[in-house]
Amino acid sequence: MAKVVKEFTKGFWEQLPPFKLVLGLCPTLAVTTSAENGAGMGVATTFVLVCSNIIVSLIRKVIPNEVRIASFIVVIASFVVITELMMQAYAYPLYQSLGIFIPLIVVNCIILGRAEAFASKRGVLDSAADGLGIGIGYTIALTVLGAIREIIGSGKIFGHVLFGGFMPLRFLIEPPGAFVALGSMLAIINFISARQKSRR
Amino acid sequence: MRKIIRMVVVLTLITGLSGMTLAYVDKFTAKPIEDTKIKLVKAPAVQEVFEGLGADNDPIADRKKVVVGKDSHNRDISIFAFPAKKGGQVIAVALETIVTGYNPGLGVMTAIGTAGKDKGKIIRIGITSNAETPGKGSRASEPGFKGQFSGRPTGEAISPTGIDALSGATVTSRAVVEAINEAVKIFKANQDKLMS
Repeated sequence: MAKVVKEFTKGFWEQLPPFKLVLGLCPTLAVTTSAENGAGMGVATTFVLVCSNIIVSLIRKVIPNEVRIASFIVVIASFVVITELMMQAYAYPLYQSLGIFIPLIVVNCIILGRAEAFASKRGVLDSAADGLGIGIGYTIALTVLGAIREIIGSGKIFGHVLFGGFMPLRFLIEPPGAFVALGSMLAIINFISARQKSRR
Repeated sequence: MRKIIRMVVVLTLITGLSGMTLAYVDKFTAKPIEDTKIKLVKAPAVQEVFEGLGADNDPIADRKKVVVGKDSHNRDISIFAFPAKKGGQVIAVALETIVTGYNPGLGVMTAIGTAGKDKGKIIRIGITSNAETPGKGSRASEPGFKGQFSGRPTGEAISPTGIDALSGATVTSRAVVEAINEAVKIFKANQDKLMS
């Protein structure tokens, strides 16, 4: 049990996807223009990650080694299409604002990375915990990054105006701002990690 | 050899299963997706073209399906017609036709009057989806262009040379005319059904 909990919690800090593993940066840069977009993308990715981890782990023993990547991609792509259809049906505005980045979850390295490095070698429960933990960590990271960009870039949070008479720095919402925001976040996270290490 | 057979069988099984699942999910979500799109994309356009008519019904709830042709599998292609009613009488009908301008997917909502002074005239048109060149064809959505179709009789098809085309966007202008003519044609062919 303790092992499952450890697999679950490692995604929150130890292996926090965009900042510690530095994986899945394309959607991280592109969709974090607002906290809502970041959270939506995170939830969609988490769903695909958990489902694909479970299925990959279930079928890991029947897949011949030579076609494993192809098999993983088919599994992942199926769940992405399911997510896409579900979002069109029940979250259309979010689907429109995320646009092309929903189908692009297929090629998100985090998902293939977890399937290849973890789910293809471990049991179902461990894999589900791993997927859920990494997914939640990714969601939190995207939401925080989106919130920072939204607050400074447009003076809002989750679409609600925060303060009046504030001239937003629109630059942070635009693509170059994504690099600046992500870079600053990485610097802060690395600073904290370095201090943790030196204390130990 | 056995290895190759095993690879082929496993991969075929996985793709087959995934195809089956997706077909099922697609079938299951088709209706909600259609409803969502009508509510969020079509409803605002219908409201726009019917503005000021004083309709007392909900054109979205009263929508009717009309068959406009067959696809390559011999299945019916149908579009929605939205009627505006006043005191139970149909006073106008809006139809969305989708044509290809400079890019595919140019959607035009055409409102046709069926009673009173607007009878047999185009009331207003609205653009529902527009992927034309920004700054050129995209200007089809501006009131200056789409306003010129208001009040035109539906007796005969509009000629592409008889309008003020958008400068630099001849193809888009012609496509809008084509979409309106198509809507009028569909309306005339299904008049009995739509007026009831």
